[in-house]
Amino acid sequence: MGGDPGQELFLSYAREVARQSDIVEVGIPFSDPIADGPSIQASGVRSLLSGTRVRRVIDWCSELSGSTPVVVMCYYNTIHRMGEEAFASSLVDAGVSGLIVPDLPLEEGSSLRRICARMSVDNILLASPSTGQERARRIASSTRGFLYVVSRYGTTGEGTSLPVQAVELVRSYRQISTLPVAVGFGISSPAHVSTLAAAGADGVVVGSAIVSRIGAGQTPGEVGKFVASLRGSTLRAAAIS
Amino acid sequence: MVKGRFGEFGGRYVPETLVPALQELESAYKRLSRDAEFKSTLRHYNTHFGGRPTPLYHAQRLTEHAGGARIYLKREDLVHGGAHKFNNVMGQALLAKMMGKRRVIAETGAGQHGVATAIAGAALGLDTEVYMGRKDTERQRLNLIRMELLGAKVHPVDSGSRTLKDAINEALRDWVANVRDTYYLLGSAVGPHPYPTIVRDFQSIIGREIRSQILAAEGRLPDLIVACVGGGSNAIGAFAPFIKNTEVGLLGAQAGGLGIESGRHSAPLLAGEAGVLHGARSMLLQDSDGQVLETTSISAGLDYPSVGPQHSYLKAAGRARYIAVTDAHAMEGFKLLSRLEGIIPALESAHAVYAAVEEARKMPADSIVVVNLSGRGDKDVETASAYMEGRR
Ligand SMILES: Cc1ncc(COP(=O)(O)O)c(C=O)c1O
Repeated sequence: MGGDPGQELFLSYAREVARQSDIVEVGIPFSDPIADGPSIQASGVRSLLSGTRVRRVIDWCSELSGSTPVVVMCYYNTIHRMGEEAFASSLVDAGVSGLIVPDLPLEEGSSLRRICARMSVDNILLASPSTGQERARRIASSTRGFLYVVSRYGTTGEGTSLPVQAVELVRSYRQISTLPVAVGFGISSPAHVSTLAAAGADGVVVGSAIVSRIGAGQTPGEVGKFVASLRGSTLRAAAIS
Repeated sequence: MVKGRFGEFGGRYVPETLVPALQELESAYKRLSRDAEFKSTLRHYNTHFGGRPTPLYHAQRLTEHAGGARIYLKREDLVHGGAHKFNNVMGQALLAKMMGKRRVIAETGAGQHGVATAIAGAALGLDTEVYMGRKDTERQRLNLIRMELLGAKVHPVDSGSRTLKDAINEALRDWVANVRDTYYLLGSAVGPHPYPTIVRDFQSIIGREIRSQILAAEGRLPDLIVACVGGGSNAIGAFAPFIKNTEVGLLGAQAGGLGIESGRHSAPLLAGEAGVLHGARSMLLQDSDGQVLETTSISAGLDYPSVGPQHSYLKAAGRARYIAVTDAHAMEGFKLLSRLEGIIPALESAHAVYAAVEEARKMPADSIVVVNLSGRGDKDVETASAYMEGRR
């Protein structure tokens, strides 16, 4: 999460996470993150309290994007406020490769998708366990970069066990998607990662498990080690910071 | 007009997990709202359980006090539970039941929507859980107790500003996790499509009754209808049946808090800009980064940074007018109605009372103003007496 655990410290954590992942996902904190559970909410609160501004997070992205592909995660009002066109072009200027907007479903996102496509920013769409087949196909054909499969019903947050439907979801999305499939929400242990990799996942997205370690005061090195431990040998791992 | 949109406002900005549930709700509502049995069941509960129709009462002494237009009160304070919230809740609770949902969740600010949901939950045998900001559990304690007595489980919310906005955030998070067996009974004309439409339709019984009652009493439509606007459900319910009658003025009173200039208020229609919160694009109090601002109001039910999308549309289209009424002026309305008419209004409704008196004053004696008295003030007596003693 951009700006967590503070304006100075953020980049040192982000660089460690980036070193251990194939993609680093940078969150822009939002006052009302309805798709997030307690860990990422707390991370956003820490960031906002330390004075994080949207422009600043995008500047940090440009410092990271030279060495690792960067994907930005933010709520739609952040984009709406700046304007879709201006927001997307600020990402381009910062060398950002992709954009995830958890509260912008297929129907509301067509203009942003068009703008992103024109500017060569991958607008990554989410599919969920509640998504029906027909809709899943439309999402799979509209997403760019990769397909983000939400592993379970609920908000982000660490889970002890992998949701029962996750493996089944990965198998079915693997079949309909021509792009890599990455699984997120609740992924927090090497066992989760290897199970998903065996089911055909090309990547995992890890958020809460990382930011809760940052919140608990682990050093960048310790957090980096945790991310390294998650990486299955066959997996392209994406990570949130 | 695009489905689910009111001009540029409205829409469905939610996580993917909720989209199928909202589509299911939309089609269930479409089917049931035309179903004769559903309509007669709802009519039965509204009449025999809710106490509808509510009176349209000529407030003689308030009229004399204002010295202008004749003022009528639409007595939603007399609905079961003590506020207009019942109208929407009963409709949606029946919808939930017919959709086969066993568990109902709700958010509440003033506690009136939570109480109404607990009432319907008890009457229909639904498990009811209510999210309420910690600050509101304190200032509307009476309603917290009522909800618990009615068998609802109340979850105090400690995130953000610990008020209505945060209660909605938490209810949405619950819904994302439990969407398969849970119905989210949203309490105002806000949120993603189809909620603003469903809530408006169920609340429109207010406006339909006003129409037939004022025609019976005066032989013509009113010149002005006044209602307070938090999320905007009582107001849209009173306004909607009159939108096409352009000779009827529509006036919404938002919470001016300590005054618009102070920056401490809850009046997005006066001081907000378009933004997206809780699934809809509407006017929103936000900073230059799009972070939602904290709001201030003496009334928990109006303490909200956004507003139902149809109000943003009515304002943009010039069909309705909106003003801000400060805490101090709302307290004047509260005292006036109590002393002149023997009716203690909810602090929310007191904003509309004040606005109506100010408007009536400027209008000729043969004109007619209807105030939607959205709720009764029992829940507010502690806040009001503390305010009058200068303790807040
Ligand atoms: C009595 C009363 N009036 C008005 C409101 C504001 O809601 P709305 O604007 O949806 O009518 C509330 C909300 O709690 C209320 O309890």
